[in-house]
Amino acid sequence: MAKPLVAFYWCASCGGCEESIVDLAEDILKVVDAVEFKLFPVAMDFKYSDVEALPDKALAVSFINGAIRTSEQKHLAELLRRKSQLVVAYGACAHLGGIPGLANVANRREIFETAYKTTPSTANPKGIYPQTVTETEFGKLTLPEIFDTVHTLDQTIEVDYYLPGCAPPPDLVMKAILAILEGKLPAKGSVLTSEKALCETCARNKTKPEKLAIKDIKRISQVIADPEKCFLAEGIICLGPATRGGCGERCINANMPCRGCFGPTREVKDMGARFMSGLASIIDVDDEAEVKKIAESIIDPIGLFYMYTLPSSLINRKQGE
Amino acid sequence: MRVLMCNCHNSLKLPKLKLGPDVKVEEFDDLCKTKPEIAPDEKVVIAACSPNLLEGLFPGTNAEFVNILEHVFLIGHRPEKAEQMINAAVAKMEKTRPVKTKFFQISSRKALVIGGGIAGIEVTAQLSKNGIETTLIEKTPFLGGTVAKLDRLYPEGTPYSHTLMPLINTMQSQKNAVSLCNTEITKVSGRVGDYKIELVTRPRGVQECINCGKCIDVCPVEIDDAGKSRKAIYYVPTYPDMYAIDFAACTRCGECVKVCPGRIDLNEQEKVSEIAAGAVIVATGLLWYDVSRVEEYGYGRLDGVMKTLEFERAVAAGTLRPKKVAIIYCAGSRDSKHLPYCSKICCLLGLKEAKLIIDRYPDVQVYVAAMDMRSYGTFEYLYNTLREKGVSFIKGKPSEVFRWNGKLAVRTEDLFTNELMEIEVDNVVLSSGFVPDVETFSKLKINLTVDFPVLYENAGLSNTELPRGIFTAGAATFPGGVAETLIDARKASHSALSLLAQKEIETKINQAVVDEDLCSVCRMCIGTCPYGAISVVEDKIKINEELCMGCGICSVTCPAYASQLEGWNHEGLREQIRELAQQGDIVAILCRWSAYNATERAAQDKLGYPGNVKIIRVPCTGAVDPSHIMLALNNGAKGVLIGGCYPHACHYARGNFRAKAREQILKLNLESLGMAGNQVRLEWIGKDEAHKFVEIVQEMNK
Repeated sequence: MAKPLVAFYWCASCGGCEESIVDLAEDILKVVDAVEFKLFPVAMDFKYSDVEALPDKALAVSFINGAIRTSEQKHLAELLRRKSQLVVAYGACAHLGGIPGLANVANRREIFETAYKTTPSTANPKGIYPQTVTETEFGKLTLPEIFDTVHTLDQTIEVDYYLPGCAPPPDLVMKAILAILEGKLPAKGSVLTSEKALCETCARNKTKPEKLAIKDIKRISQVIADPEKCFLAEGIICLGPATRGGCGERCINANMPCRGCFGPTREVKDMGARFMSGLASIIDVDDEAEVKKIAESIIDPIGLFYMYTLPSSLINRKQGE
Repeated sequence: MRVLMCNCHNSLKLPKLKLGPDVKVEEFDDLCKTKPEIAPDEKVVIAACSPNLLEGLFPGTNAEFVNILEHVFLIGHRPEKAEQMINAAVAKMEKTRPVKTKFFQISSRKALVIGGGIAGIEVTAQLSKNGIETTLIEKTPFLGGTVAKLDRLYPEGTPYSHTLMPLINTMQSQKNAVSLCNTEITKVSGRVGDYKIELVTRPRGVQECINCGKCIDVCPVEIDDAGKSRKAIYYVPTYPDMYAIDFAACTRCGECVKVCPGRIDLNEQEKVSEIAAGAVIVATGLLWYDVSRVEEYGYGRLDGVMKTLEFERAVAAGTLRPKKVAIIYCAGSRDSKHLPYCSKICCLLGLKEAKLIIDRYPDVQVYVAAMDMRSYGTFEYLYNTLREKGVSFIKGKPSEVFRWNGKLAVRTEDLFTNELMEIEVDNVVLSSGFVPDVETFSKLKINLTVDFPVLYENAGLSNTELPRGIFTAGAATFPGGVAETLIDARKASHSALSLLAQKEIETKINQAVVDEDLCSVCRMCIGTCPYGAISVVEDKIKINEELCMGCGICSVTCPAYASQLEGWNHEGLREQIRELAQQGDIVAILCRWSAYNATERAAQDKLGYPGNVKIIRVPCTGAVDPSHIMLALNNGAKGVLIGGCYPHACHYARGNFRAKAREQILKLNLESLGMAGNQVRLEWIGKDEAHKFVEIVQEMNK
């Protein structure tokens, strides 16, 4: 019997998701035995035209990582959707927008200005910015268009499953691949990990006092965190209560609080709003001015509450202009 | 689902609704008089006048109330707005998880009363008189509690026995009443109407006693019992009419056994028993604050420094005959280092002790040092009498009690005369406050989040529907004098009686419900509950139905939406906002207890506000979800107003502070996204402050 055809593609991403495939270690051999790759830019030489030549739905599954912020990424996502029976949003950026999604705190004009003009290491006296089409003496040169807003994969194409994480941990990846190969998939739209938040499995949850109540907010860089105690109980912001578990608490075990790369649990659309609501609720101060002071001590609220989820949130980009 | 619209005696031109096929629309001329039947599990939208009125007419229905009278017609807004509001309410109800009717079988018609003081005795008497089999348990060997230790009761001045003995006798004459001394609760399980309580009865050491008192004569152990000395085997002339051994003091020398063989058993074992009860009444009485913690007053360190009770007993016994006495008020009370609250009765105790000694020894000079004299009610007469009798009242809080020339001295200022003074005395009496019985309440799984269970008792001021089977009586509720204690005991008896008179109680109060499939037991909700209703039981978050008041603060705290308030779940409100908030609108999410009422007032007072102000009613500002605010803005609303009770006036204690913190953090986020933070405003709007509401929405509309 012919092996199922698979594509593994990257959009706006860092390459960490590709790395997570390498992290499968010897299990990767099982995967290679079981499937046939049709697109895998980081590892194998296929052309877009190879995919275009396939009949529709020829691919059993496409794993797409990275957020969507250029016309090329959008085009490929749409192409792969057409050619695939299943599309899996692979990793935090495809799932929720991820770190590239934080670009939504600015718009394209501002980003171009910073990247191509105002950074100290840039010399661009003529103020030349990337253009989608440039006429040269050798002919027309084109570049993909960079969008004003970074999108998640499911804002661009229909997505069947989500493999969360920055990057997805090997055990979840392997489980998902096996489930696909064996046809034992949960309901469409599922996030292929735990239904409950991280606290459920976090070893530090037991050290939490019954009543969580904080009087100030500390940054992890300012304190040496107790490696046993719950971060929140110590006033260090940890997104564990708002973030899906299943990650193996890799950050927590390295004594770093959770930053939310697995995204929100099932009922929650806007993870940042949900977490900030919870965090505000445990501020144990009954004085308006004091509440304000504590709130204002939160540095970079978007980067904190929406590190991985800004494009998927309710107000998903900078407003105005 | 049905939409019930009222045209208020044909005075309102109701919109023609275009709703789905599953929604039936009915129009009434006077809904308040017709009162159509609504099935318990039916969802309805009632579009008429004030929900404050209609909620009373349709109690316990799963209804969303749309106030088309005051929010549209009276205020002169276009009828299209009424249609939109009704559509939004229908959208909400479609996604609303209905309030489940909760049934509690009253399987046991018995009652347990904890504490054998006057409150417990009175409750037992009242319940047993009314046919309830009642068990009264008392920790010590004798009934009577604090009253049995006193000399006289004030302001009447009668000896304690005049009050206590008739109460005990009434109780004892009831065949349904059983009293167990030396008995405490160890474990409680079950719930309203069906509690199982494990009791431990500690040995009394004495049986078939004839009160001859020979044992006392031979007992070599003498101890001080709050100012009076007694032996390790002793008798209090209340009930039961027999001696008892204080095993904490007894050395088991056996002398008493020699004079009374066969009736004294030093090796008696404790007994464990279990009883069932449908109601439990906590009447554990007064618990004194440990006044030795007020170190500057030297209790336990300086001889002659006494507590009020010790002083009273020593004077009554004739073993104390001072010439000069200083009574220090608020010893550890109204003090942020000790008890921040006023225990209410200590001022009266101080006055009583002054009267007690002056009556016996008119030559005694008594000084009372008090920051304030709170001699409420008829106690003012006592205060005036004592002034006439020459007691010196000093306005001030003494800084120190110290030893001087072998005597005691009190250093204080007097704000009446502006003098600093040192008063030399023989005895210092500390009138200290009282603490709640946290131990008993925690055994009953009632978390006290405030100093006394006053909130637990009174939070339901407007809400008597709680499935509650645990009541408090007397000083366990809050320190009180004898009269207040008896009144409170009768109130508790009535509550328990009306519970136990039913076969089953049914409540439709909306409560928070936790979805265990989503809950990670992160515990963020626990501390946000004003009633201590949330706890971890067997590694799961449990909501105590006897305590949950339905404020929704925990639901909005939960980072996973695992906890949801029935009738106000997030999906419902989300749909309501999605439908209601349109481009350029001001969405006003208002507390049902305060700001919402101001909007009705605005209509009644003919204060106009723009038609783009869309009002949503919530139980508390603490139940307003930042996600919903963002959703409204994302829908195009130009502003969101959250209106609630003023600080410290929140119906649910602290919901408004939670809202404040959420608003502050949300604003930071919005500002980071280039929005004006003041698009979201949390304002305190009292229920009559129509002007304030109108000014705010007009300002937001600019």
